[in-house]
Amino acid sequence: MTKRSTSPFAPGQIAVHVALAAGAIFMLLPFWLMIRAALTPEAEIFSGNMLTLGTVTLDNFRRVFAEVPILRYYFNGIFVVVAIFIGQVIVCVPAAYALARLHFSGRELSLWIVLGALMIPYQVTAIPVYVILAQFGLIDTRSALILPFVANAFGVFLLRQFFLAIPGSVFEAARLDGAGAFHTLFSVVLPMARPALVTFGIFSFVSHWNDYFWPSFVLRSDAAATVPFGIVRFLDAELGSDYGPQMAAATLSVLPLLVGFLLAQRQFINGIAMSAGQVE
Amino acid sequence: MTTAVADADILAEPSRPLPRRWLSRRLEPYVFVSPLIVLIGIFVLAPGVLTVALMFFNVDILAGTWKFTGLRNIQQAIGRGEIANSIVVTIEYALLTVPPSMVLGLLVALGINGLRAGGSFWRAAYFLPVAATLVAMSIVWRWMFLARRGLVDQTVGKWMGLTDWLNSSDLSLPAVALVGNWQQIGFVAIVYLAGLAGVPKHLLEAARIDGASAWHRFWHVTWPALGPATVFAAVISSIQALRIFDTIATMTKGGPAASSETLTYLLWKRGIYYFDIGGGAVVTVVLLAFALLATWIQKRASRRLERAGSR
Amino acid sequence: MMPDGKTTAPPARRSAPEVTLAGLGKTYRGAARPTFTDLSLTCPAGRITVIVGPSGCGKTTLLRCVCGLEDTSAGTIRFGERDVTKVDAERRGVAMVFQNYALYPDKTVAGNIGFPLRMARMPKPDIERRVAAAARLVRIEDYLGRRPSELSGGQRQRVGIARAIVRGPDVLMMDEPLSNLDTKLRAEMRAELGALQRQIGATTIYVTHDQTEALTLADHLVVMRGGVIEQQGSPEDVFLAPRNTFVADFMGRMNLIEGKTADGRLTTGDGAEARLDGYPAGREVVLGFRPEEVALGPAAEGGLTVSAPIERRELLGTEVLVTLRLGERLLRVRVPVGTPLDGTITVSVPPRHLHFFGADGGRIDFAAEALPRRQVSSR
Repeated sequence: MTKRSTSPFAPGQIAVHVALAAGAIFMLLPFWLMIRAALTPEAEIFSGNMLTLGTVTLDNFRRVFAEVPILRYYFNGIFVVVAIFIGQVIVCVPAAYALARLHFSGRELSLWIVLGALMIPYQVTAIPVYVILAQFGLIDTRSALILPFVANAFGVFLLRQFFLAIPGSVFEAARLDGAGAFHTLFSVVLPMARPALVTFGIFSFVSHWNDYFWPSFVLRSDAAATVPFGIVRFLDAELGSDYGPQMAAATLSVLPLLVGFLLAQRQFINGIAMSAGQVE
Repeated sequence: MTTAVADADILAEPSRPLPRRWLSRRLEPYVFVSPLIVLIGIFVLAPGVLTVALMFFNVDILAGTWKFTGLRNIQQAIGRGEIANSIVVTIEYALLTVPPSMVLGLLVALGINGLRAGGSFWRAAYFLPVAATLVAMSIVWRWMFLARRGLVDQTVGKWMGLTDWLNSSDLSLPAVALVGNWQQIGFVAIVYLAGLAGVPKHLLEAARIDGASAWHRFWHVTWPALGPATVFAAVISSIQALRIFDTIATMTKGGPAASSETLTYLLWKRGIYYFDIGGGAVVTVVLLAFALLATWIQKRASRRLERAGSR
Repeated sequence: MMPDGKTTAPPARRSAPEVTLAGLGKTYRGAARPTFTDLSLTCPAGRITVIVGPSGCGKTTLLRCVCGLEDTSAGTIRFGERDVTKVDAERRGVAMVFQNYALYPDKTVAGNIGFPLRMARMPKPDIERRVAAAARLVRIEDYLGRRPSELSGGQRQRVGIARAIVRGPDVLMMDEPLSNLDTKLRAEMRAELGALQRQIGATTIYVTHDQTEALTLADHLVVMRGGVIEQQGSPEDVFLAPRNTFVADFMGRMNLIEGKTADGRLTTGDGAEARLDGYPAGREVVLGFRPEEVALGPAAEGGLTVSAPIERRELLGTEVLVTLRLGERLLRVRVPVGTPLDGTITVSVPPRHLHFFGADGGRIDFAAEALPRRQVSSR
């Protein structure tokens, strides 16, 4: 046995906590300042102690709700994110299953196509995809925000790895039990893929909810705007130097994800850290 | 035994034949795979070909006209000097974000990993910026960097004389990079925490019994085992640097004087703001070259690690 | 060793078909050599055919071809009169029990067992009745609401078996169903499986690498190696008269001594000698005998006598497994506990327990006189 103390209050441990706390101030300060400014009357935003709340008011939020169609942005955001995910499940789960467990000529080629697509960041295809969507008259629609992301090579790759880890005999059992293609998918494959789908789902939700790049390519107006695009557009147009309402709007955009993150930390971290797998 | 026989009799009753299948087993895989391949074809493969074509055309989306212009797009892009500028800015941005966020992320991970209690709290705190909507937080940072009245000018500005970051061609890119680090550190820390979970515990114990100092234990046991995590975090951070858009669009709009105009921002500016599809296509090709370079470096680095046996 | 009642097994309950494989060949795409070629085999209707062999011998591939999970490259598969060679797996009327159970992890036990019936669009009451019956047959009826992850290995395999029999299959496949279980459970389940098969009466093809399982369960035993059937027949025939040295070694781990006979002696290549009375001289043979068929002391009337130094002893219970060194060859014999075991030991094998194989490994009838048909020795 070593003589090292195992107490969480050992001097070394305390030092680490202090160091982490110092760093965490830098990480959390913007959040605090945002919430403080959002709850502070316009006149007091730049005065007083930055680390305490002075007069608390909800006026800034009232102004945002009155002037910014933020509920529409929320609705668009949810609509887009949910539609993308449903599309991804419909397209990617069967494909990943076939690529993992079915034999057919063309499988190798399909796998290469998926791996190739995996290597290309979507920024690279932005201009030509924009041109293609324009040809179909889809600019400034929710479809433009959804369609390009339904076939997600990363999702296919991830699900395929997952199916490869499941013994093939389960799928063979289903076949001998008389399950056709769709029964195998819905009754056997889909329930099994639930854990992988939760992780992938969070990844997909977060990245598309937060996305600002693609909306700024294909959106022109407010009609289909998601939260990041709508907020920025509106702030620049209407709330030029009204920092209180700006911070309230920022708070409202960040809020859904932060609440989700605090409720389901582990899944969130897994889901977002998964983007790491994108180039593996 | 009688019930057993009866049970066997129940099973021996004629069962129903299977219903007809309406999709032949040979077709199944193709039905499953083709939607994916078609969509990838439309949104990844065709765009790849299209990009190359677009470089040589002057496209008017609204009028729907394509005019062949040969190498003019490329000549113009080089002539304007904006591509060269953006390549330099992107590399500068990568240098300002990748090394610092890697080092700090590793330190945070080591700190959290060494804790006996409270690790998950700190992990959540450092990960919060990763989960937050970057564009919204950029608005907050923009306000913090506000000239004179903003927090940065009120504190750092007073102490060090560095003021009005976002309007200074020397400080705008560092300002954006600061936000990049702020967002990236938690992500790197998570990657390293996963790597640290895989460090062989018995080796650390053995090193401690052999009397190795904490530094030696880190350098000879922990760090080699973190090889894959390091490659991983480095590549992700680099690709993140290549993609950076949200902070620049909200905080500096590439300025002042294009001093923070990265490739991805230039892509948007050319293709959407100036509506110059051909010019945007040229930027795309440069961006693609960088993306492939990053993938190639990663492949090489991981192969080297594999050969070194640290995987 | 043989389960009682086997010889008095009732006639097959249902019209389970005889399974006939004729000239079957299988070459995996891209493989340099075929897994097997021109393989012919008849599995008797309503009985258990056990295919036994070392891993990689092609037995599992053969099973997968019969049930249709793999295409065959040549030959035909018939269930009774019906040619099923080109029929889809799920329409052959086969069911399979897998080594790793292959249960659906997200379904309950009842959901797992009832799945094949749901696929056949059977009415719900019928499904429930059959699931209950199948569950009772494998004694898993108290666990119908659980999920596979909440069951032990033995219970999981019971579910796997119930799912296989629930549709009343004509042909039942078992691919090493007991290999993932521990020894004690394996022996129990083995006995139960035999009884269960006789109740449901499906023609059963059972693949294993375990010789005890093979001998206990088989009505018809097939020994395979390298894609070739080395021997098939009743388990008694295979065990008592192995057709070649491979079968002799694989089924019952016979000691094999290569050597040349001389007058009253067998001389091995490395110069060691054993006494061998009553056989022709001057022949190259491989002599075989089982560890449990030796007697202490020299042979009284003909047979083999070996005197050799003891290399190793392992207590098995009432017997000791002794390893002797004859030249460079190690021989295993079983002797009763309490036998003095120091230095050298002399053991003998009577002629009726001696097996002879030619230089090519094939069985030969070596003694001039016909060997009497022997009884199963008790161990």
